[in-house]
Parts: sequence; C-alpha cells; structure tokens
Amino acid sequence: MAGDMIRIVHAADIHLDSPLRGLGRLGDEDLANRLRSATREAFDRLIEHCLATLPGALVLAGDLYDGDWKDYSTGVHLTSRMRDLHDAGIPVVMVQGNHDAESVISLSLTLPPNVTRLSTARPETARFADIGLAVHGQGFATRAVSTNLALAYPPPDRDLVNVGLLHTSVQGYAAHDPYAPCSLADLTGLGYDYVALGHVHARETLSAGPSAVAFSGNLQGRHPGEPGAKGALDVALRPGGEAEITFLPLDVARWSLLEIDVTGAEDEAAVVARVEAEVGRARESADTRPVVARVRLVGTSHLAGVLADTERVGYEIRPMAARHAVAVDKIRSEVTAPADRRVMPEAQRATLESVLGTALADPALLFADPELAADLAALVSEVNERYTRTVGLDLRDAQQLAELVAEAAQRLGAKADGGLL
Amino acid sequence: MRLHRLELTQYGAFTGRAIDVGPGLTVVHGPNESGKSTLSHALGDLLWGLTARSHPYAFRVTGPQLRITADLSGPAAASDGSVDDITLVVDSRAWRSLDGVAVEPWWRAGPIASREQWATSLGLDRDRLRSGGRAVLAGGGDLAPLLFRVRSGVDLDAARATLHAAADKHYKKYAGAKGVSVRLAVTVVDRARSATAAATSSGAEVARLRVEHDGQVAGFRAADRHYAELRTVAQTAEESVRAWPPAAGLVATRERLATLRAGGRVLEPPDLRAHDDARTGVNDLTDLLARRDDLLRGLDEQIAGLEVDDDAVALGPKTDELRERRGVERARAASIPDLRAELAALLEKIRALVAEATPEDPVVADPAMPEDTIVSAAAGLLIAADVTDRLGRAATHLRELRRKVDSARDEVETALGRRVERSAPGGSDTEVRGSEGGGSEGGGSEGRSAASRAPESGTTESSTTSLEADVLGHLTESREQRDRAWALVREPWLSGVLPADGLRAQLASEVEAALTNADHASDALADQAESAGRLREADAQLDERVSHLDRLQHDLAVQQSDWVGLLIAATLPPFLDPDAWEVRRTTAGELAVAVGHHVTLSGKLAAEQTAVAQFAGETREVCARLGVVGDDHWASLESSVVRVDAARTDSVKAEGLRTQRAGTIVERDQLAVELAGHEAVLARLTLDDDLADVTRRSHEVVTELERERVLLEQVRAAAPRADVDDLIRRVGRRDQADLEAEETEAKERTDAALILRDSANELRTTAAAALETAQQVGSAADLHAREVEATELLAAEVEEYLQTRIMVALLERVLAVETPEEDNALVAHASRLVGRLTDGRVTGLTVQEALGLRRLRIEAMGLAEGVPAELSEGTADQVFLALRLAGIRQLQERAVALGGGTLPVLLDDVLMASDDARTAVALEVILEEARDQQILVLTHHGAVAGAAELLGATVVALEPLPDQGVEPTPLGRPRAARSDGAEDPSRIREWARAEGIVVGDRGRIKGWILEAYLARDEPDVDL
Repeated sequence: MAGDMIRIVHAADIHLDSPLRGLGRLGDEDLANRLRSATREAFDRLIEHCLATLPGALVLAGDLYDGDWKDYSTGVHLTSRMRDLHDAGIPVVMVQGNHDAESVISLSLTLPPNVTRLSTARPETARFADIGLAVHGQGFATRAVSTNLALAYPPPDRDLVNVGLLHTSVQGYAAHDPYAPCSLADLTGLGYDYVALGHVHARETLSAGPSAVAFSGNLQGRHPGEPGAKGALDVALRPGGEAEITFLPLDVARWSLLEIDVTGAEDEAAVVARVEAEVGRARESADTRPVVARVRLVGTSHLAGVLADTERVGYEIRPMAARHAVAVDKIRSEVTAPADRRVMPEAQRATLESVLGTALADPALLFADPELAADLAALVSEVNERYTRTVGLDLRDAQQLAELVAEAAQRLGAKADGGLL
Repeated sequence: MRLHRLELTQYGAFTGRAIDVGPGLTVVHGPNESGKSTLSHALGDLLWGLTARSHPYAFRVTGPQLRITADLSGPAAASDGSVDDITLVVDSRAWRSLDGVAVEPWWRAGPIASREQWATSLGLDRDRLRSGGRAVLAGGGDLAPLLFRVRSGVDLDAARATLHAAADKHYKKYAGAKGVSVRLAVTVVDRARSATAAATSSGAEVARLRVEHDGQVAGFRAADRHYAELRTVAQTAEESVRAWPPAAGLVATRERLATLRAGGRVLEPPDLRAHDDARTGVNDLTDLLARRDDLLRGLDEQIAGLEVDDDAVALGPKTDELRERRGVERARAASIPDLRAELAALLEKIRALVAEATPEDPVVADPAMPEDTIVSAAAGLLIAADVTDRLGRAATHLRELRRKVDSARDEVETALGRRVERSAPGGSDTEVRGSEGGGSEGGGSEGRSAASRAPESGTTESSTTSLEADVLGHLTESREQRDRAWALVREPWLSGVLPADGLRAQLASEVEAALTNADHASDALADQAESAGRLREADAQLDERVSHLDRLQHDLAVQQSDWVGLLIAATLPPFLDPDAWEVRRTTAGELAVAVGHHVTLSGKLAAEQTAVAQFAGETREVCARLGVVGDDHWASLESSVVRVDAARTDSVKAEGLRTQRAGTIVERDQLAVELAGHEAVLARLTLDDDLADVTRRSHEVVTELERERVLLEQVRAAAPRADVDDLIRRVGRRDQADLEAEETEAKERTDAALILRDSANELRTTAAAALETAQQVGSAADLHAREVEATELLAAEVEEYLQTRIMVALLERVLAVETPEEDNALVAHASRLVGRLTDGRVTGLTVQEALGLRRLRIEAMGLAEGVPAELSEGTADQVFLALRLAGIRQLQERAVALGGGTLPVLLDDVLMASDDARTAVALEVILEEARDQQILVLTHHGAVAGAAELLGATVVALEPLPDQGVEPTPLGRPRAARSDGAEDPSRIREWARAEGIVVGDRGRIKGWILEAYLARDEPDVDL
C-alpha cells in the first residue's frame, strides 16, 4: 500500500454536546431546540461522511468535548458512533486539547479498538501499515499547556505517509489562548506530509504544498463570533506529494454577522428592505441550514433616533427574517443623524456631544459618579459571579464597561438627534 | 432673513392665497380650519425645503406640483449688492428666483440647522406653554433643565426621568425590589443552575459505582464458575447412579461370554446362521418332495380317466356360427307369408287398374289368368314420359281450339239472327237464307256438310225460314255423320279386328266426307247471301264470321288429325278424346307405381326363400355329422349345441391337468436342487467334533452378545455425554448404595453453590442499576444548555440596565454643564418681561446659588421662599413664557452674531383671550420683542386680533374657503387638531408607546413626550 494515495478526514474542536450561545434571545423555541443539538448533529454528519466515503483514517485534533460531560449521554453517543466507524473499518486517531485535557475529563467510557487516543505524556505514533499511514501526536495533559509540544515530535517514518496531530495556537493567532505555542516553521520543519491542527476555530491552511499545515476550524459555529461555513477537511496525501485539501461543510446551522448601511434610507421600511437583502444573501449561502444572524445598522440617517430603539426595530426585522428562515439574535444600531435633521439645537447638541466625548474618552470618570458607582457595585455583587464564567461578561472589566458606555452614548446621541429625548 | 409676503401658490386647498407679513409682530387671525396650520407648515417648507414624498398638503395637487412663492430679504440677498429683496419660488425641487435661477437658502447657515430645531427652539404653542408652566412649578427651581428647555425646547429632565424609570424596571439596588427584570433573570439562572447541578452526577460517584459494579460482576462470575463446576460433578454422580444397573449387567454378560468361548468351537454368526438355515431346509424340503410325488401320481390318474369328443370340438366353430344366425333366420322364415300376402294384394290392384284402362280386354278380367300375364299386360299399358308430355300439350291445344270453334259458331248464329231481323219487313228468301247460313257456326264442319247437302236434298230456296232450317239440318246431319263414322271405326278397333293403320285411313276418309258435306252447306248459304242484295251489309258481317269459323274449323280438323296420329303412334286407342286421355294417363301412372312395387316385392320374396332354404341345409349337414337326425332342423341345432358344449368342457379340463402336471415336475426338480445345496452346507460345517454341541454353544454366545449390545445402549442412554468404557470401568463393579450416597452429596453441594450464585447476581444487578441511575440522572447536558441560555438573557438584561443607567448619568452630566453668564443674562431679560406678563404678580427672576446648585428664584408678592411651586398655574405659564421669549432672543442674537440673521418666530395660540387687558399687555410685550425679529402670532380669538390692531401690529384675517368647510385630512396621516390645546391624551400615549417611549396609563404625560408628539412629523410641523 505504501506509495498509494491515502485520504484522511481532519476535524477539530467538535465540542460535542456543548451549548450554542444566544439561543435564549432567538424567541424561536423550535429553532433553539434544533440548535441545542447542533454540535451533535454536525458530529453525526462527520461520521456519516466517513461511512459514505471510507477515508483511510479520521483524525481529531483536540477539544472533542467542551469539558467534562454533563452526563453519560455524550459518551454513549460518541462510543456508538465510533463503533459505527469500527464496523466500517475506519481507524480514528485523536489528541486531547485544552477543553478535553486529561485533567479536565473525569468521566469516560470504553471506546472501541479502532480509536487510538495518543498519549498526553509524550509524543506517540499510531501506525497503520496496511494503508501506509503514520499519525504522530501528543495530547494535553492539563488545560493550560504552555510548552511547545511540536519540538518533541518524532521524525517521519520512511515509506509511510506521515501526519502530525496537534492542538495548538500557532504564533500569530493571538485571539486564542496561547496553548502549546509553536511557530509555523516548527510544524513545516517536522517533515510530515500534513499537520492537522486544532484549537483555532477559524479554518485556515497555514501552509500548502508538500508539508501542508492546516486548521480545520471547528465543526459547527457556536456563537455569533463564529460566522460562516464550518466543517472538516478531506485531505488526500501521497508520500512526498502535495496535500490536496478539500473543505467539507458539515455544520447544521450558520451564524451570520450582517452589517447594513442605512444611509439614504427614507424611512423604516427602506431600512427593513436593506436588512432583508442581507438576510436573503445569508439565507442563500447557508443552503437549507438554519441561520442565526446578528444585525448591525450603520451609516447616517435621520432615522437614527428611531433605530436606536433596537427592541422596537426588532419587531420589524425579526418577522421579516423569519420569513426567510433566518433568526435574528441581536440588533445593534450605530446609525447617526445627519446635521440638517437634528432636533436638538446646535448649542445644546454641542453640550451633549462634549459630555459624551468626555465619557468615551474616560469611562472611569463617569463611573466615579458615586450614585452610578453604587448602582454598579450592587449589580456586580449580585450578578457578576453568576455569568462571568458562563457568558464571559465581566462588569469589573474596564474594557467591557467602556464598550457599554460607548453603546449608551451612541444611543443617547441618536435619541437626542431624533427628538426622542 | 425677513419675510414680506407668503403666498400659497399651489398648496393644500389653496391656490394663490397670500398674506403680507409685517416687519415685527404679525397676528394671523382666523377661525378653525381657515388655513392657519397650512400657513405655518408652508412657512416651514419655505425655510427648510419642501419634500414631495408623502407631503401632508399634497391632496389637491401632487407633491411635485406643490408651490409656495415668497417675497423676502436678508443679509445674503443683499450681499452681492444687486438686490435687497428677492421673490423665491419654492417647490419640491429647490429654491429659485422668479426667473428660474437657483437660490441658496442663506438663512440655513445660522445656528439653527434644521426644521426640527427651528420648530422646537423658535416655536411655541399652547401645549408646550402649558407643559413649560408645569415644569416651572415642578422643577423646584432647578435652573439647568429649565434653561435647557427654554433654549432648545427639549425637556431633558423628563427624558432623564423616563430613562431612570426604564433603568429601574431592569434593576434597583434596593434589595426589596424583587420584580426588576435582572433579579427575575437571576432567579431563572439560579433555578437552571441548581437543576443542572442536581442532574449532574459527580464523576467520583459514578467511578465508585463503576468499581463496585465491576467487583460485583467479577464476584458473580466466580460464583457462576464454581456452581458450574459443582453442577458437572453432580451430573456425573447422577449419571453413575443411572448407569449402574446396565453397567453391572454388562460386566456379568461379558464374563459369561468368556466362559462359553472357552468351552469349545463356536461358529461365527454367519456360519451359525448358515447352519441353522441348512438344517431347517433339509427337513422342510424332504417333506415337500414327498408331497410333490404324490401329487404327480394323482394327476396321471385323472388324465388317463378323461375321454374327449374331438369331432364335436372341431365342429364347435360352425355350430357357434349357426347358433348365432339362428335368431335372424327364424325372423326371415316368419316374414315370407307376409310378403306373399302383400304381393297378392298388389296383383289385385294391378289387375283392377288394367281392367280400368282396358275394360274391353277380356284377358284381364279372367281370374285364372297367370300372374305374369297380368303383369306384362300392365306393362303394356304404361306410357312413355315424352309421349305423355306431347299428348298433354296436344290435348290442351285441342281443347282450346274446340272452345274457340264453339265461340265462333255462337257468333255466326248471332249474326244470322240479326240478318233475319233485318230481312223480316220486306225480306226476301235470299236474305233470310244468306243470313241463317252465315250465322251457323256451332255445327262447324257438320254445319257446312249439312249446308252443302241442302241443294242436293232439294230444299226450296224461295222461303227464307225453310232455307234456314235446311242449313241447320245439314249441320246436324254432318255432326251425326261424324259420330256415326266414329262409331263405325270404334267397334272394330276395340275388338282388335281393325288394324290401326286401316282404322286411321277409314276414319280420315269418313271425316273428310263429313267435312265436304259441311262445305257444301256453307257454300249454299253463301250463294243465297249473295243473291240477297238488301241484306248485303248483314251478309258482309255474316261472311266475316263464317270465314273466321272456317279457319278455326280447319285448324280444328288439322289438330284433331294430329291428335289421332299421336295416339296411334303411342299405341293408344285413336278415338280417345282429350278428357278420356287424362283418365287413361292417371291410370297408367298408378300402374307404373304398382308394377314397380310388384317387381321389388317379388325379388325380395325370392331372396328370403333362398336364404331360409340355405340355413336349413347347412344346419342339417352339421347335425348329420354330429349324428343328430330329425325333421326339425331347429330342434336338431339345439341338440348339436349341447353336444358341442359338453365336448369342449372335457377338453379344457384335460388341458388343465396336463399343465399342472408339468409345473409340478419342474417344482419337484427345483426342490431337489435346493436340498442338495443345504446338504452341502451341513457337510462343510461338519468337522470331527459334535456339530450339534457346537451350534448349541454358538447360539448361547449370540444370545449373550445381543444382551451385551442392549446393555451398552442402556448405559449410553443413562450417560449420553460420558465415555462408556470409562464409565463401565468406574461403575460396573461398584456397590450401588455407595454410588447413590455420592450422588446425594454432590447435589447438596451444587444447590448451595446455586444459592451463592443467585445472590451474587442480585448484587450485580443492583450495582448495575445504581450505576445506570447515576449516569442517567436527568439530561444534564440539556439543562446546562438552558442554564447558559438563561445566563445570556440575564446578561442582556444587565447590559440593557447598565446602558440605560449610563444614559441617565450622561444626561445628568449634560445638565451639570454650566454657562453662568449666559444663564444670568437670560434670566435677567426674562425678569424684565415677567412683571408685565404676570400683571405684576411676579416682580422679578433671579439666579440663586446654594450648595453648588444654581436655582431660579422667583420674586413675588407673598412668596416667602421664592420657590416656583407656590405659583398658580397661570402665573407659572407666564413665567415660562418670559423665560422662553428671553431664550428665543438669546438664540436670535447669537444667530445675528454668527452672521446668519434672525428667523421668523411662530407663537401659536399662546395668548389667552379671557382677559382682554392681560392679552393686550402680553401682546405689548411680544410687540416689543418683535422690534428686531419677526414674530408671527396665530390665533382664533378675535379679541387678540383686535388688541393687536390697536397696538399697530400687522393683522392678517383669514377666512375659510367657501367650499372648504373642513380641511381635508392628508392621506395616511391622522392629524390631531393642534392649535386648540385639546389633544387626546390616550392618542398621545398610544403614539408614545409606538415610538418605544415608556408612558403610564394615567396621570400627567411628561412635557417632553407631549412636545415630541407635537413635533412628530417633520414635514407636518405646526407652530
């Protein structure tokens, strides 16, 4: 078999059975129910794809789970699907990532023999002589691995197709926690035919050609920050040859960020029409999948004041989007009013502007106001702990407070311009 | 800028309606619906542009057709030095001069940048005045919001309050406020979280249960193995007990076999079977052979005793044939008399027919005449078929001619009669005679003969009557002569004397003679006719008839002659007339049938008689050969049949005996061969010992072997899985009681192991269930997902609260911005106006600073603290009006300072008309303010207009359009009546909610909401 073409499927960051964000705001319980099982359904589609196309192996580059299972249903489902692959003769090689590191996971079930979980103590190689494939990799023992694991990976096996498997943030991807940091050169220097990466949720081929390196991205977008098509990579490999990488869109629902410029829109109907055009495009690109869109209105319009009331605007936009089978999770307006349509006379508007400018420049000064500070402190003590960990909002975080102030200032300005004060 | 004239060229319901605007105060007066609102809207369009789309006044003309024309002047208009004043045309496209040149609206460069700003900062109506008054009362003298409001028209204080209320709905730090949305969301999150926590089994617990479960599984497996082992032991013991009886028997049997084999020679089973068979065979066959010999002897005797009549047997087939024909032949003999009788009857019929045909023939009448003669006579009477046809046709022809001749004769007689009638008056004999002679037709040839004979007999011609009688006499005579001729020839012909040819010739001459006679008579008549000249006409007719008669009679004679010829040719009597011929022909037909039948019957009778005779002959011959003699051949045949049958029976019996004998001989020979075989076997087995002893021993061995086989099967059945040899070794010689004791013990131990195993299984099941339960408590993953969702909703609530709360803080900051100099100047100016506006109730306004706050202090009589709350509503309104006018002044001054110039101010229904004196004072104040700016006051109160006129202000009176009783409501925009101050609060609340503004169901509506409502449609601003 050595020398023949091998096809593998590369997936990562499946976060099986983890909840999707923003479902509570959809107001569409049916859709929310569907999305709740989205990661599992996408995982099922991955398995179905493998069963249909029979790749040489399935490699999973970490974060198969979002953390410890909430119950055994996750493990039972995983085991059952791995059993399906076993019955079809498809081996599975996986490494653990920061979310499903050895120390994080306390529950487990016995996986069928076709599944190889590479060691977390040292680099390990899984060899499949019958198809001429060697998979090298090391998993995370703990959540935060700060060492460069790639440096210890073994040299490639001669006469076999060599695939590296690693959960890492390659330098230059600062947006993600810098786990198992390494450089692209570290990876291409391994001399493998292909290095399958996990951890970064955006799909990207870092290096094409003979020593290809790629993030498959996560299998299913889980919040508005992960828009667009998601899935796995089908990689065709030949020893010493170039990897042919094909994206497999396996996600079952899409997140979409819609930015709509309302400049020149005469009235609200025109605004809704412009949003509808974008919604239609999002719909089209997602095929039949459910789409959850986040709407951001920008531009200059005399409607700024009206649009600042996003709750009300939502009543216009959401039913429209629902007609396109698109759910809108959040609407934000950054629309400003043109000078010749402002209601507040210039002098007073200037005063308001100056106050808003000062607050934006130094939000802390605003929070120095004893009354506001007291309100905020009470709120923090009452709710902060309840959601900081879950949804990532921290009221003690100056940056986040500054964002709140900016949005409030924007809304206030729009209201003033629209004569709604 | 300064406005001089405003014309609604095409606008709303108006075409070309114009008002002149004074340099300072202009009071526009008119009842409701007279166009004040239209006018104020048009003023807004003039200043800020006219938008065609959805324009509220585009109901009579389309939006693009709306048009305003205005004369105005201003700094920019004069800046190029060419013109000071300009007439502008405003429509949806732009501002243009009258000659179409685009004009830049210079006034928009000032501090007021939009229509909305103009409306809020340079406009005031009754509602906003009332709202402002209330703000003065409620504001507690707080200067910042009040001045913000009088300068901008925007009520920031109310906005702050609204936002604060909105924030409060989300969150209040007061712990007792349970209903705020953040706390409600927190409750939901906590509930979801505890549900998740309850549902999530800890990893340690599951692991512990798993270890326990695995242990229980291992324990169960061990117990199960132990039980299985013991059960095998018990089964073996049980088998041993079951197998003991046959096993013990087997051991004994095998010992006996050993003893037998030691006692001498033992035949192997095949040899033993051969011996037994041979021994039996020899005994049986010897007996059988003897019996066959006896049988053969008996058969020989029987065969010898039988005598068979071979001749009778040989005649058997012929006898059988005769016997079969017997019935037919009897019937045939019986039919002969009937045939004879039938023939006799037929002959009689023939005889009768012949007699009928030839009554003259005496031969036929003789009863003794032989049969053949009668028949041949009958044959002679038959007529050939072609003759019958020809005679038939001739008879028909002859009958026809006779009928015609009779008819012609009647005509002649008639004609003769007629001639006699004509000749009677002066008739001559000739006439009468001729007439009679011509009419005589009935007599035919006889008539002519009679006539021809008349002269010969000397009849007198002179008497007509006598002549006629003569002629008739001739005719009668000729008929009689003919009859006589017939009679003359008939007799000799019938008697056979006259030969046919002679007869014919004689008859012909007789007839010829009769005809000649008739001709003579006819000629005599003709001569007589000729001699009678006067009877010429009748004679001619008579002649014609007579000649016709002649022709017919001639034809008749010819036909008659042919007829006779035919008869003669057919050897028929020539005198047969056609009718007699018909009778004759019928008889001949019947005879033909009878003769044919006679021939057939005669033949049949002859054949039957021959057959009967032959059968009798054959029968007699056969009987003779059998020695049976008798007259009645029928009886002889019966006897012969009996003889033949007996002979046959004997023959068959003898043949059977012979066959049996042959078969018996064959059998006997076969038995002898078989016997020899058996004897050979016995000889082979016979050695020098005693064969009988050997075979007895051998039989015992076989019995024991069979017993051994049966016992082995019993052992196998008792212990199907065991090794039989091993089992027999183990058990065969054991004591049964020992074995039973071992079995009992093994069973007891197995039962104990089973109990242990069952309890281990129970423990295992319990552990598995516990593990299952621990693993499957609720759907923790789903609950967790919902917890996250609940938390997100909480986060959204928190964000919304904080943003709203931050907005409140920002508004407070805005209000905290201080401009003390400008504020002081504004309050000072208002203070100057307020005394007159309040009719002296308020004497002054000042700014009071205390504890870092700047407040408005009101100086009024009886107002100890100077706090506005103590004012009456009306006074508070006037205080606000003073502040507002001061604010407007400050704004206009600032515009002038910036080089933009002033803009017109609109005061809509802000002056009360209840007190003329106070109205006049207020107007006076406004008039003073209008000294350097244009102020338009709209009112429907005549008193206001009157006061203004007295004060020298420009007053414009508007009349409603004659056909314009009600100002049409613009399409799609419900418009509340604005100027009357009679807004419907529920409509305002409805509008506010639609705009997303929080507003209560009852109580005071905040001023800023009211103002926003009044200013809600940009192109629809009423001031």
